[in-house]
Amino acid sequence: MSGGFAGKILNVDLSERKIVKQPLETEKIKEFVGGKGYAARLLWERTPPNFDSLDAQNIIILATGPLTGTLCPSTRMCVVTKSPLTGTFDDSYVGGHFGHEMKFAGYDFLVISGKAEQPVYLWINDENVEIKDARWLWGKDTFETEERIKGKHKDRTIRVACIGPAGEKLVRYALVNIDLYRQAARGGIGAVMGSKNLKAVAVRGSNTIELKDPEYFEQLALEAYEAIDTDESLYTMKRWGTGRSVIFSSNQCLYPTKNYQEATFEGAESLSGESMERKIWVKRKACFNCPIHCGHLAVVKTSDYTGTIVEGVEYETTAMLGADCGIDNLAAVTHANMLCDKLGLDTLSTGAVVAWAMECFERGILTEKDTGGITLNFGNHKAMNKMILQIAKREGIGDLLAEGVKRASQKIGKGSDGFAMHVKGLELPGWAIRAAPSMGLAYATADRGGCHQRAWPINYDLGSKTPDGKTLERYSPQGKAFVTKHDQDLIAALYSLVACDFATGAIGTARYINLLNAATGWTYTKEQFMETGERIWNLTRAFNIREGTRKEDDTLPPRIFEEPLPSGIAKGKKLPKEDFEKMRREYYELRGWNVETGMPTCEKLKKLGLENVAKQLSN
Amino acid sequence: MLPRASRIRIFPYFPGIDIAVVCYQCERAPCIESCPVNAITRDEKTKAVIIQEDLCTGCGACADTCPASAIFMHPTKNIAIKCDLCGGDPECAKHCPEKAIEYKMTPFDAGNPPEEIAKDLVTLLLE
Repeated sequence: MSGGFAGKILNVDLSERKIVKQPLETEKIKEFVGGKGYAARLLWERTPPNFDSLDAQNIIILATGPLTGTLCPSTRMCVVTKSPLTGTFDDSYVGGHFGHEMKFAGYDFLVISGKAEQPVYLWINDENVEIKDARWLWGKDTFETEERIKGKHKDRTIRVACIGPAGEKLVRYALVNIDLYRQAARGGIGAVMGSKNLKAVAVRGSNTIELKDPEYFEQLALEAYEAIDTDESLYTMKRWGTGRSVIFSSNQCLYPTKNYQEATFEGAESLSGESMERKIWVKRKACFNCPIHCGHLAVVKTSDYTGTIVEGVEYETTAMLGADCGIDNLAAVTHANMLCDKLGLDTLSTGAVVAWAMECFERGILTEKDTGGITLNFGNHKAMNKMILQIAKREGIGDLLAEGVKRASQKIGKGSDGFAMHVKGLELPGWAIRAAPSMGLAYATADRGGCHQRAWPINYDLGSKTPDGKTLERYSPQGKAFVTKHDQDLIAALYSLVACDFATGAIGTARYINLLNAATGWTYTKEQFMETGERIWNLTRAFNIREGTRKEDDTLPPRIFEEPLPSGIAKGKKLPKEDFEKMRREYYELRGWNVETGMPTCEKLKKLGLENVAKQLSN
Repeated sequence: MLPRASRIRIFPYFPGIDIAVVCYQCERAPCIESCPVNAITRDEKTKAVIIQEDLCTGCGACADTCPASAIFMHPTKNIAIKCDLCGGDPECAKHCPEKAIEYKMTPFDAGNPPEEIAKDLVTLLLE
């Protein structure tokens, strides 16, 4: 076996109550590295075509990579499933300590299949793995669930991944809460856990990870530390976390405001990292072996929301629960953040759904009769917090909103789908599009729907040099397909290690490849690493095509094409549909996909070593 | 890397409040007295309380008696482990990127147990 891996896949079939430990064939996983890549392979192999995301046929994969849990700083894990929100491949990344602990327990991958008859949780204590009764935990929020599991096992050092009431109620954007304040949030993995009657996974691990060349690996890891320590662009990240971007984003017309009607927010200052530092932060927080410590423990000590304690508020949450709902009250947004984490809701989708409902209310599509008497205007933070409670419990209008903006807008109609801000059903996150057209292409083509983490080409729109040394014009479609494809491939490869977004710039791709090779004994080159990213991207695309995604789904909400921005430095800008279609066509060409259908061609898949995938797809 | 063999540990003693747990090197060390095989001694030079690995039987009496919960059982060897001050040049102090760990020779009796430190921090930070 190669170094860098714990060496086992843990398979848990909840229907049969069967636990099977399977040796990891590292030669087989080499072409997918680990993490996202190999999990995508497992999802492809172990599910039948055209299954329902909330059916027992779906599987959940908790995946680590060869760098997770090593001395390499800032590593994460990912959770992979078929999303109940989009019906596509879904991979959600999370830091904390859970993935590392899982690897120390001896498992690189945990694959959960089937459906338990009644609520259960999984208890992994090194070699001992048990499916345990969780009826006593059902209905409990995520914070309490974690505390109770730690209490039951009389061990404060175990790590817990669990769902809240929203996951139990199958809210389509329910999350998995990990290590109290970290979340694998996007795409509704919590609902998939809920559909399997799986309340939590708790893990305690006490083994070590063997490395092929430990001395060289340690040297590289220390260099990576040094690189993070001296990287000037990380100074602000260490101090303000993702909150550092709020004011920049609003000034650049990138900050979604009032359901994406605007992109610059008057109240941005009060939601910024600088403001949080003054008002709510009490302590910095880091994930396992991470010198960046972008997290902050926040406590609200004054206002109606006194007693709110949560880690945050992250940039994305300020955008979606704040600006996008027209709310500049920091205490209210912090409280909403806590409610979402506790009840088990993705703050991004939740903010987007409430923002959409607010616009429906202001246009008279929804009335007080629908909302149960709540005046659901933009800016009404009390109404937002009430909505969150109703969504998590699927009470009143919450039952409709729990379906996500795509399904909710299809259900109530009246033109509300024209401003349902999603791609493939995943609500758009906190980076607006009309002042950064390449982000539109990135959203339209991301494998899990409207996601900013599969590529963030905004930096090229704003003047950063492209990987091939060019400078692009901000509002032109020229050259945007190349950077989007390049970043998608690179990030897919990095997510197989599993690297964290905030460390990749400082550590650099070359050093990551050296770390991978020192850990495993493999001989990856830069070209092979990029090709692996492309292989993974084509595999997730093939999965999505198999499950029904088509070219028509690679698009953006009409608002982006039709409505010019009303204010800010990009006032008057929209993304002309012909520009978008030009970028998309160029993107398909660069990918070697069929430009008429958006499907990967047989030749392309074969060239990437995905012959079997090509064969199954053509059947 | 084998975190459960570490001699300094970070535990979430209260939700959201992580506490670094490490030996206080007590002047009157209850662990020394508790050891049935006299495997725990004091280093003359560094004043660190040291567990002699070859003598330790892994009974865990020292871990139970430690007021700071700073003696741990090794995950694979049948022995107890604790901070030995790395022979007078602690690696943790050198490595901490926040410079939150300082090494000074100032003998004192056991400070508060981590539960108490966590309580104080909760009062200070959260209330």
